[in-house]
Amino acid sequence: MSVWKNEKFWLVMAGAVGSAIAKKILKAPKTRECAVKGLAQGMKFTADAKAAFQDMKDEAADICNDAKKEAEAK
Amino acid sequence: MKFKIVYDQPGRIRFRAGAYAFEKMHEPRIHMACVSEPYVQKAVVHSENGGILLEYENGCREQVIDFVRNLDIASLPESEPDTEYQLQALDSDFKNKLAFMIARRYLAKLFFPAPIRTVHLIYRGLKFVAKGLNCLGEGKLSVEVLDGAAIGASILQRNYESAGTIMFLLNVSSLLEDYTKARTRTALTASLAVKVDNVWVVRDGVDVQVRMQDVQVGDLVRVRSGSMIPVDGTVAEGDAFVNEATMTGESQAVHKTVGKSVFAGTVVDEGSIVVSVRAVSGNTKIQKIIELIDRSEDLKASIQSRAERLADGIVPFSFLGFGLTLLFTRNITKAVSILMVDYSCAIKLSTPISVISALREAADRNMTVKGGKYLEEFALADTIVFDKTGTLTKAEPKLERVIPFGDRSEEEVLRTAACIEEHFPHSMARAIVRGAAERGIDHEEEHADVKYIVAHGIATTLDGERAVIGSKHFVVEDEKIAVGEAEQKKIDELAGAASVIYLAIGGNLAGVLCISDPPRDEAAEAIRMLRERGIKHVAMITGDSQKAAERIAQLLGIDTFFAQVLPEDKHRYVEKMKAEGRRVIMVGDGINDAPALAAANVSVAMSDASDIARETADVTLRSEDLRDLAELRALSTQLMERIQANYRFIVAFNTSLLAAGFFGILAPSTSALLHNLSTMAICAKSMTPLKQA
Repeated sequence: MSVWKNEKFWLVMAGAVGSAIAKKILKAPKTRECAVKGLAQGMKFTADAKAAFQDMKDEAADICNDAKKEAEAK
Repeated sequence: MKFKIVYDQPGRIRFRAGAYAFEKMHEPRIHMACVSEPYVQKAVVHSENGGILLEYENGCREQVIDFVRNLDIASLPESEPDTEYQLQALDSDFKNKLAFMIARRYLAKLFFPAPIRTVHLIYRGLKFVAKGLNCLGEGKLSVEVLDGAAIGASILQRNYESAGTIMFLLNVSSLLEDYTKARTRTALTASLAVKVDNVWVVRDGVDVQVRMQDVQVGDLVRVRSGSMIPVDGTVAEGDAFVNEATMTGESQAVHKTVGKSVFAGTVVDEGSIVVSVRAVSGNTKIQKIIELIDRSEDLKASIQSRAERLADGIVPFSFLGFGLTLLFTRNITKAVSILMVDYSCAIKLSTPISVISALREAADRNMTVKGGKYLEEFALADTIVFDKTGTLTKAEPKLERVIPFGDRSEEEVLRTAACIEEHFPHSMARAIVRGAAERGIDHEEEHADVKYIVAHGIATTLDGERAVIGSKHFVVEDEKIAVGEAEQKKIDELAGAASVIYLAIGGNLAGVLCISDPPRDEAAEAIRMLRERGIKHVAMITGDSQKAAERIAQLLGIDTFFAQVLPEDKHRYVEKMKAEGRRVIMVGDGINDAPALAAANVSVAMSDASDIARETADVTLRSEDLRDLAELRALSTQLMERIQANYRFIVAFNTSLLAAGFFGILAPSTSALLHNLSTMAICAKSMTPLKQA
């Protein structure tokens, strides 16, 4: 049987070509740029989430403080 | 700084500068800058949202706003975070971590598909299993092995929900433990910080008293017997025996000669040295003390050590229970239920948390306890022994009268006495110095180097003549100074029940100083309260006269008193009581009390005690109120009751869970949930303040 008709041969070849392309993509500056942007966005998201959470905690603390003052005044 | 005011009420204002206004590392210096302003009462700083909350004196709103507007973070000096900031940071960190843990557990289900969650769970579970295997490899059948086995078994059974619950609860317990310990450490560090206000600096051969904060690197600081070395440095002159127990845990004093290093916080037992300053004291030394408290097995409460041993000792039985259940029921689910429940982690976690919380509570109430062991001893003691002077009596004994002899005047005797005594931190010495100041008598340094003969008195040379001052025993018996019959009669008549300090110059009695020493206002009540809280025997030891001791004992309702006790014999009385089977608390303040303090089961130094007494004592009171002793007794007793109650609850609750698991009433995941929830609940309860009786 001709090697060209062997299914396994084509699978191996496809795998090799796929690996080579994947390696190229991974090493491409564009990929790196996307990864850095993604990470930065992740970090920004975390920082924003932390800020939003802290805002909420602060506001809750202020509300509690007002309630306490009101109760003391009565 | 640019900001928005997001909250504004009289006395409280909140600024918000946004998420990237400053970094986490800038928080301490901003906090320090804020609290350094005289009108700011409290500051809370958060880098997450650039928030600054300030509580201020009413009427200072504009100043506060101006201050924040002009805040230039780059120009602020670096500063060590203060205790308030550290505690705030710990609280905030704990809350954030807890919120993150809870969010991760419950939100992960929304964002990630089940297979990814399973892989992540197995990865985390393997860490617990590896930890358990490590312990097993070291030959220890500990709680970690049990945790690893329970998690491993759940994963093998594909019961991922159970495994996840166990890991989540274990992590929360561990976070809670770390938080409590860190908070207690911080509170203890603040309470143990070196508190030396003034030091003697040698300038051009003369000793000058300067404030501690004015001491510079390279200065020469003189430290005498009984005083704490306030700086790190090198001995430049003299030699002394230095007690370095706070640094090394070694109670034997070390001989320090010229060129040797000495460290802040250690105490000169005997001798006098001049230290060339290498560094002024920071928190490094204190950190070492805390580590000593934390790590030293000797300082752990024996109930704590017993609990830890018991916790590990129970682990094999849990495995035995697992094996037997599997054998009898042939049901792996029921057998795993046994592994899910154990007594050990609850006991092992709740006991140290209870002890540490009680230590922190004591620190918050101005009592520094140097280890759980001493709280336990304080709860178990049945006898309390007080030193009289400066402990039971007022912290400020008063100079009543000066009786001069020979051709000397009252003023001359008092001036000389004050000049010699001013170097030593004892309440009697302070009474003489204060007495001279009240009478407007100035005294200059006219004497040569003074030598402190521990607990007896002081000797020096004055105009070429030997001058000694101290107790009758020291001046008359040791120094062989003659007291004539007429002189003795005069002393007896005029001194009454007052304590008498003898001054001799050039081999002759120059005069005596009568010091009245009334009991503290709250002393009688403190003794009554101690009796109510289980102290059966109250004793007093004093070097003072029989007459003075009897009067105080009668006034305060003291069972036994020992008068005219030589300082070196004080500890013998304590040892005798211990030999009679009593558990003794010794309360003292002077250098002479140090051996007795060391001999007692647990010792307490008063707030104005000499440095060496404070170093030797297991407990230091920072207020001058003797009722704090009764409060400490209540606190320690309640701690013991709490530990026992926790123990009873843990055994009863977990036994019920084991039985329910054995009979198949509860599924392993429910057992794990209930077990871990109960552990967390008991830990959280152990952190709550102990109620005062």
